[in-house]
Amino acid sequence: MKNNYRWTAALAALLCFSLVATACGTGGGSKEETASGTGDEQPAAAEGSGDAANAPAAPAADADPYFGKYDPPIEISTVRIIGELKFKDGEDIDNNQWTRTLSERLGIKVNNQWVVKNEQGAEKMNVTIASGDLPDFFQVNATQLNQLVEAGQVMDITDVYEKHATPLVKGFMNDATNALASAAFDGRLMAFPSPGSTLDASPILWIRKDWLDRLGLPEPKSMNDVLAIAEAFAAKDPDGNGQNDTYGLALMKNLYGAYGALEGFMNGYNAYPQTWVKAADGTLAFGSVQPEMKTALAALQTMFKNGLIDREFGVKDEAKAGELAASGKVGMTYGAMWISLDMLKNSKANDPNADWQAYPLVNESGALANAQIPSLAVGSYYVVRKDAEHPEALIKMLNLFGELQFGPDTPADVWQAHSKVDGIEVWPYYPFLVGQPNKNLGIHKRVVEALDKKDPTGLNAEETDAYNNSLAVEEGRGDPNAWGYDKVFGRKGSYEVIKRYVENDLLKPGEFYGVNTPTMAERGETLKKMEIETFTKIILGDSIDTFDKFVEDWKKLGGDRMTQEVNEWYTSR
Amino acid sequence: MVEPYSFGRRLFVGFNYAFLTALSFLCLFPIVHVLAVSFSSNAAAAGGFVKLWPVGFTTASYEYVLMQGEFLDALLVTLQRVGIGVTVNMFLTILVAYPLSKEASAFKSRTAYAWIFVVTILFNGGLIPVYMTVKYTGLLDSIWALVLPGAVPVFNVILLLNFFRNLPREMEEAAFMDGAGQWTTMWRIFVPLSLPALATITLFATVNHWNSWFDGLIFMNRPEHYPLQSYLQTVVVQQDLSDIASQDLDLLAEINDRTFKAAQIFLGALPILLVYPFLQRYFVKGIVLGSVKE
Repeated sequence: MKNNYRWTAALAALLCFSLVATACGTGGGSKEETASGTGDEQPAAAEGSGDAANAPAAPAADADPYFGKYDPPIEISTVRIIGELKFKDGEDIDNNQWTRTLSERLGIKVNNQWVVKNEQGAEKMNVTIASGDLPDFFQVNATQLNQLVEAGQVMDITDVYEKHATPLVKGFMNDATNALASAAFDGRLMAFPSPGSTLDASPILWIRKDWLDRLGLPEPKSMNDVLAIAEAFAAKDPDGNGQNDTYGLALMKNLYGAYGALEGFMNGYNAYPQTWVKAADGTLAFGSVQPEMKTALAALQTMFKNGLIDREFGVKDEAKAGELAASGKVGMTYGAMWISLDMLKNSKANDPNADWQAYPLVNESGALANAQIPSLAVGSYYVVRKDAEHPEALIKMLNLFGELQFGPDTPADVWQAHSKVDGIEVWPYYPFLVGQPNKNLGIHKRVVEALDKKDPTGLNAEETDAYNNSLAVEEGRGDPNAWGYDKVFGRKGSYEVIKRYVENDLLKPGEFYGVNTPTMAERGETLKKMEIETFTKIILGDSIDTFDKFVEDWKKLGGDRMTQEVNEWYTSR
Repeated sequence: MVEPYSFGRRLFVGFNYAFLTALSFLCLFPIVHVLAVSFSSNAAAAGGFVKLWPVGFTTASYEYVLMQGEFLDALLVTLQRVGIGVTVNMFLTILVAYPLSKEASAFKSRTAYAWIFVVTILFNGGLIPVYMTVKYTGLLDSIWALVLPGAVPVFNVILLLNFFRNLPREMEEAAFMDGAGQWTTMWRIFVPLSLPALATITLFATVNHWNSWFDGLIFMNRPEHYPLQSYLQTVVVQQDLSDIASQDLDLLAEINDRTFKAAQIFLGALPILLVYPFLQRYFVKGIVLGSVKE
């Protein structure tokens, strides 16, 4: 009996350990597989043309480099990071208008290895990358792209792009500030950037026009006007409720962002936080540590002391700080072009008289200020696995999206079927998107034209939506939602302001668009945190000379090294 | 010995109850607030007007949540997971705890086994090896990926084996004397006597399965297979607005819809709030009283 126990014990222990061992074994095995897989591809890549080595057998595909259909059809694998998608009954991510069009037009079937919602996309992708289980084509962020290129896991697509991308798609790429350059490593294109719009990130000055009118104040022409308006909004009871319960300027704890943000305010003092600017000597310097920041911070400090800023701003994020706007306690904020659809819309819903108006940034001398925008707006990159069989299929799929969404020859009904059907957005079903970088500005221009003519013919669905919203508002029958859209695309919307920025050449994109330098990756977050903490303390009343100490610390803690790295990148471009 | 009804005693008891009541209200307020927000109009919620009573009463957010198939799908997955997961957890916990609670004289390599289990509390392979294991055992995208990797909760095993050890040895001896084997002793003597401990551990396991979201995210390849908390995570998680470079204004317009989030949070917490009172009756003292004469 006792002996029995001992044997079973030993056997069970052995089982336990063998389980552990096999788990490790499979892990190791998969690594080997990927290693040998990449090894196989090395010679082909060395020839500098993955395309030639991997050309599909079908001659039809070569006949038309842009839209050549694969016959027999091919299957490619990818993974999907999606937002909130809605589907018609019976359709899903693997079966919809786009999947049908793909197999009809290009003979491609897409296998989605996994599908995940936006917020956790990066995390899930990291696990996939680490486990070495990569699909043919997939979407990564800048950090992941860097890792993959260093690990030699992705294909050089320079030639494939040159040969297969349509003029339309190439045009979009060239329009997108720095997008292609950001995906190039040693002059070779290692990924296809999926660009957003840098214009969309322009800082705007939002003010409640009804408060201005009630207090008989003019529209702001200079920073002094802005300060005077803030003073009046805080002290002169703009809402007329007889209580001293309003603030002059919205502010939130992160200092930089979409609402209650400081970028626009600082720009008025010729200071450009969190971006790389060209210094007088032609080198690149970090905007947050320039002397102009001090003037801006001193102004904010005075405003805070005089009660123009919410005492609790240091603990409120954007959504929480937005409550003050929504409840009619604050009448001025710097922020993004779209907040009329969020905080300001709620302000309108709570008080029908609320009339937020977008104004361009002004500077100290009474002229329009330069508005800082990011150096590039590439949210993600599409990459091709090192040993994928049909790298050109990615470009063809991108071509197809560009053609059906933006192509001048695409019939309206075909466009509609692939964009929005019965109020359901269909376009995000597609795995590989290419965007027209300045789409929103175009919508604004065409909507205003149509409003002038009172005639929406020739507008596409998106433009028609915007037109209908603005028309409803102008005819006095718009709900707060329509009002929010009108404040973006309408005659006096935020895009009118952005149009002025563009026409007067006031936009100031950051100068650095490379991948994070080693020091940035290591210290960037810490330095940013230190900056926000120090600036917050200064606004709350710390001596203004704290700024000089901050600049010293910033340089010591990696700022100097970062500046050096950025300038090395700048000269070597 | 304190006089039962002296003035000081009554004062203390009165104060004590007042204090504890205030404390429980402090715990209730956040839940009540979330509930109030979920029944309010979005503009009122965004304006910060909602405190403990709905402003602009509407059930729109609940209608929206329940209309969306996703929430109900996720709820179904979670119920399935809790059902299977807790059953597997409890069965294995009892099975592991019983032999480990024996004396070393009765079970020679007890200590070695105990260590094999305890080591896993201190050291684990980390995310990637676990992912690989699940992947190559073919569990990805199935309910078993959420159940099997944590099938033996070692911490609970330790709780239970300590409880087993504290049961009177004489009862075990009496059972063997009457001809019961190990299995009978375990199921007919130990398990019924350990109801309080088992109830506690069941609660732990249930809450654990109900609340975990990360594994669902990593092991599931389709949003429709997400358990409830993984799904809520995608809806409720605080979005960093500064990172948004989206051209999709419709998306931006819905980012701060608090009433919708509040409704989902409340619906997600509701079942677990309802389960607890029913477990309460198993937390009984004195279960072995009078079974042994010392």
